[in-house]
Amino acid sequence: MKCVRALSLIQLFLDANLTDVVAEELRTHLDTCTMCSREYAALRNVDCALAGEPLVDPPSALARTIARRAAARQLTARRVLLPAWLEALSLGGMTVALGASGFVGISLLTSVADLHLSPAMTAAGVAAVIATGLAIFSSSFYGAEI
Amino acid sequence: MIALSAALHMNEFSILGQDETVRGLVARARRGDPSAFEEIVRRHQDRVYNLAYRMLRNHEDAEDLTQEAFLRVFESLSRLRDDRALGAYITRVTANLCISWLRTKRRRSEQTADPAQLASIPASGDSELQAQLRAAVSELAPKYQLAITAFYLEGRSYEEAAYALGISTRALKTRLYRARAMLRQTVSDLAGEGKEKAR
Repeated sequence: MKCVRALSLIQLFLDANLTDVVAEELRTHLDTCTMCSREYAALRNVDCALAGEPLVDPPSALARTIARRAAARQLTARRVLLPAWLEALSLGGMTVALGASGFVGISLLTSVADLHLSPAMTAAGVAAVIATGLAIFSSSFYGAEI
Repeated sequence: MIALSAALHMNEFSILGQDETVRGLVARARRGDPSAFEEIVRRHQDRVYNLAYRMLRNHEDAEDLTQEAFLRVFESLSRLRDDRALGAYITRVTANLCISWLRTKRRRSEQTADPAQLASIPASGDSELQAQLRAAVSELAPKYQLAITAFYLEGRSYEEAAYALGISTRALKTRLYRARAMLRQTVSDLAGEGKEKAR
């Protein structure tokens, strides 16, 4: 093996990335060539020093801090996901829903007037219709916020 | 050296045996479970923090960059196609952040650490050669720094380091070859200067 080739193979040899045959050829060359063996020793020192670089410990609370920040960012992202026009549309839809429920309630009341319901039952019916309307209103609003 | 590589290596590219766990964690994290994402961070923080620290040589910057890397990963979890590649993906995000961080820092001419100062940063079990090398590595172009750092952090595997950096194995080998040749030259220059001073 010539020196030029040997020098080009030293790093692959250090990384154990040569076939057995080529590695053996290189070893033989290194045994007989002072210049190449000096180069090999220098590169091996560099390699060992790089591989032996000590690890540093991350701060103990790092994972928790990151998880908290991720959760906060997720919440913000969800809010941001709803653009202003969609919120306005949602609010409009909610208002229509409330109005519709009121209309349905009044229609029901006029149609059941002939049934001669007691005042308590009438009040309960009105309350149920209003509560339904409010529920639709508030749930839509809650959905828009989150 | 082997312990270092093995410790980091165990975390990720051996995840094939714990696919379900990783997939489960990613699935839960996607649904917004903070404890699942915290667990993901715990599993990968050593590699990410050490990569950032070796590139930036500053604990505060390394911490900031680690946080930013994981937050970016969190935001893109839904787009991750192969959950098993999570570790490599995290490393790639970190590597990209390191490069842009270094470029910004150099552009602004902010306190780019003085090589002599870097060499004096104490580390347990540090040798003089390691101190010199650390200084020399910080002088390399970011792509060479990254190749060297990722290669040794990824357990000296061409394939894994290349995958993590998003480059071909061939490109990684070329960068490693050039980087180590430059480092070898720097170290021998420093050794020569040392001998002259000793006289």
